[in-house]
Amino acid sequence: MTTSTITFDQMERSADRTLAVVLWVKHVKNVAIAALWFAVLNQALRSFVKSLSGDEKLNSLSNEQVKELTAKIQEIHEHLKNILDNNAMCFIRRTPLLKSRIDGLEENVEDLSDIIENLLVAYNPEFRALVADCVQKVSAHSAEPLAHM
Amino acid sequence: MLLIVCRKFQHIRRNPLPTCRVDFAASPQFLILREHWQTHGYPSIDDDLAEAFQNIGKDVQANHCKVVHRLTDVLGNFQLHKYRQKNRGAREGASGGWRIYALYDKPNGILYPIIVYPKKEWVDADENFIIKHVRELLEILRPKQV
Repeated sequence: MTTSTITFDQMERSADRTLAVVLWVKHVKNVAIAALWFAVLNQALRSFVKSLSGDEKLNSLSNEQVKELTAKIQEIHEHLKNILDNNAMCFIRRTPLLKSRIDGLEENVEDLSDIIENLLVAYNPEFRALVADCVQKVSAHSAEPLAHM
Repeated sequence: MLLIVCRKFQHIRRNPLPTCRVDFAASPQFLILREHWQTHGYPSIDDDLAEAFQNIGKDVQANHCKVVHRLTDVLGNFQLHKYRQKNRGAREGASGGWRIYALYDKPNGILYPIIVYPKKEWVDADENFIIKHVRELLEILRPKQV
């Protein structure tokens, strides 16, 4: 029976290899967890945006309710912008599994930004006047062919 | 499996995409803004708008369409829609794209674009930003409007 002896160098190399595998598994685990949570966040945001994009729902709310809702959406938007503006995002984006999730999150944040903007402009007197003027001009334009008849 | 596929196609045939005609010459404000952006660092605007109107003409809900609510008192029979379009001249990402407001005449299926502007990076999403931005648009329109 032969016994093999290993040197300290071999032991050290083996330890390094094991450490590399452990770190890789840790990285994969972190990516998997992040991918899962980003998917959950995207799904929640998508259904929230959809609920706010319906035709007449927002028209039925009172002014106070709209202001309260706008403040809440602004808070969500601010937190999401903080997540996306984090320096670590540059590294996260490099992971193919997470890149699509981050892109999806960006799209949803843009949708939220548009919804906030729409809610705010609806109360802006200058914007309302501008739209009213456009309505007048477009109505006159669309009535033109009839006037010639 | 075949039955599921057939049902899916039936659903599509029964609910075709709502098409519309885009009349971009109806609003003088839109024409002024388009010309302004073209001569102020956005030479790709015509191509960008052509692409947007092509998509919207096929489906009025395209380009991340959002209905702007709470303006019924000034809109009359119109609906106010807001669209997004990628700006080929800007860096990548939705935040660098165009935003288009348009009046939608639903019974006649005609869309009248009225306002177009390049979306700026919006960090705080507050009311002051909106006030400033609307005033910028009015400043562009004021000297040229009849």
